[in-house]
Amino acid sequence: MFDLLLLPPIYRALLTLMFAGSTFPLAGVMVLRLNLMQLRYTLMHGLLLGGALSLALDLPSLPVYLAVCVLTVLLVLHMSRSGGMNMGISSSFMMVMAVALAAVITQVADVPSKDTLELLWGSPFTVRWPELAAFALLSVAIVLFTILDWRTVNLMFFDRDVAISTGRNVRAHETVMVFLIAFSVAMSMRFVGALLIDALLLLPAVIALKRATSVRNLFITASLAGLGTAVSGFMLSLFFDLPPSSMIALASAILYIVVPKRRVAG
Amino acid sequence: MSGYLDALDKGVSLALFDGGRVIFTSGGKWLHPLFEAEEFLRSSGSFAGPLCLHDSISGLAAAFLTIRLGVSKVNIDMVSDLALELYAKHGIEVHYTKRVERIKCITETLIRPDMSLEEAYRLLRKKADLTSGLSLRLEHLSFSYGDRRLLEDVDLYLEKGDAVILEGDNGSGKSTLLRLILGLERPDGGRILFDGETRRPPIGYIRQFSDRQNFPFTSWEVVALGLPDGVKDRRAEIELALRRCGVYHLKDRCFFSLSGGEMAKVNLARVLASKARLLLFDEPVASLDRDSRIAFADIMTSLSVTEMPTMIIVNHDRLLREALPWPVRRLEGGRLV
Repeated sequence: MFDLLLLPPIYRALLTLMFAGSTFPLAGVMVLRLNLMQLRYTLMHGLLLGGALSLALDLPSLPVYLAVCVLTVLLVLHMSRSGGMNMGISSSFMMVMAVALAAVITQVADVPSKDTLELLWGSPFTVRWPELAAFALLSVAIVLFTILDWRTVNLMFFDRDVAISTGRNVRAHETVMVFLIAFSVAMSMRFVGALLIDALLLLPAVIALKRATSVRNLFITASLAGLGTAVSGFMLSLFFDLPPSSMIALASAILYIVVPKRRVAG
Repeated sequence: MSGYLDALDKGVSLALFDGGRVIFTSGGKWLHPLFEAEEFLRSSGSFAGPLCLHDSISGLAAAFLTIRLGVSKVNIDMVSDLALELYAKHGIEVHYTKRVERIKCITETLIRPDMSLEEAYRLLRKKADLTSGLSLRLEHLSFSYGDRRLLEDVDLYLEKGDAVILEGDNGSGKSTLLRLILGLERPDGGRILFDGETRRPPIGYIRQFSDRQNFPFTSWEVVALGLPDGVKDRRAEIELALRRCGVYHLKDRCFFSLSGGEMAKVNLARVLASKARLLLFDEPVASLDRDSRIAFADIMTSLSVTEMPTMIIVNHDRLLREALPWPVRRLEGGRLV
């Protein structure tokens, strides 16, 4: 099995999963705490629109999808801040719009919908060096944001109004945070597949939430849980010759089940 | 100068003695030597006593401050009748060289003999500009939710270190007024000035947390959120704030698992650690038990005579109103009365 690790697609996949596994759960903590689950769904559906557009216009899929992601996030932020809708409602609105537009483009441009849907099933083995570099950059950005912006992130976690009362530019920090989450979801979707998004992004954060004794501890535990499940799931997939997505998701699920919830006094 | 009954040395206007030993002298003017002596006593710990004081001049204002220092004997070169009465009322032994009807100083006209020690002390600290607060001015502030006019031409001026209780019926706009000051809402008209400027400073804000959230903030982490940027000894500041609010023992406990009273105290510690010059409280004691409300009021009273930030408390609670001798303003029909 270890011979396989010497093959470029295999070790690139492993490196990708190590980057994503150790840092995407940090973004997952933000998704959970700030209740951005709906935004995550919207970005997943945005992939359909991006895919339909790229196929219709015969353009490379990743730049088109990233452009759709950026546009979606900007519209969601704009609507939630000026249109009287919260982020959940504006995300839902954009999700419906993305699916509708994707359906129209698919119909009008005669794009095979099967090809569009196939984009949902990325594989870590398809990652090339440029994409690996992009994963590494995104991972560094998430870690740097979490560390350098620690106080503001925590204040936003605690209470948005209290964060604003301290004089911090919460909107700017929130925008950066939402974009980091968006790119994490987008990169995960395109290269490791829809199934792995939750396994990489959310499950480690949920597992950490069961045990964490402090917010600092929560981030560290989520990162370690993500790295552990990503690597162990990947190695199991090589050993049993099964898809890595399902094995990583399974490893996360098992860890979630076996880790007991910490008793909290009070 | 070997004792408080001896003449003051040249250039000295006040001397403080621990028994027969001089422990503090000042050559300052007006009431400043008394504030300096207070600071000296606060930072120096305890003395064997009795504490005695020799002051060059003492009117009613100085008498209030002297009594508050905890001295038992005073020697005053020139004392007013009203000051003598106040000293006698508090059982302080007084020696004096010259007695006058009143001291000619504008401060004497501001102080009344029937004031409480705390009331007079607050007023004098404000006059001495020894408050950490800022001035807050609301000018012709108005705000609507849709068609409903909630606030109409609201004017309010708070001097540095002022503290006020804001009352009104449910939906009268009390919390909205706080949100406007915080910058969470934009007024339809009017403006808000902080020390004469529209630029909003960091504000200490407490609102009621009643829900138990599944997130592992420790009390220590919550207080750390309040620290201003650039604090050197973060641990000491957090510990001090937690101890002052009597919740140091909860430092490792999950904030959202605490009782309402404990949460309120940890939140208060967060605000104390922030050293914000303006503190806003939105029904901070709602749903707290009686003991917690009393403890909260005690800390607020202490704040209002020590650091003296400018404070507004939105309150419905009768016990808190009675415990805090602060002016009460009511919001009625969108206006402050």
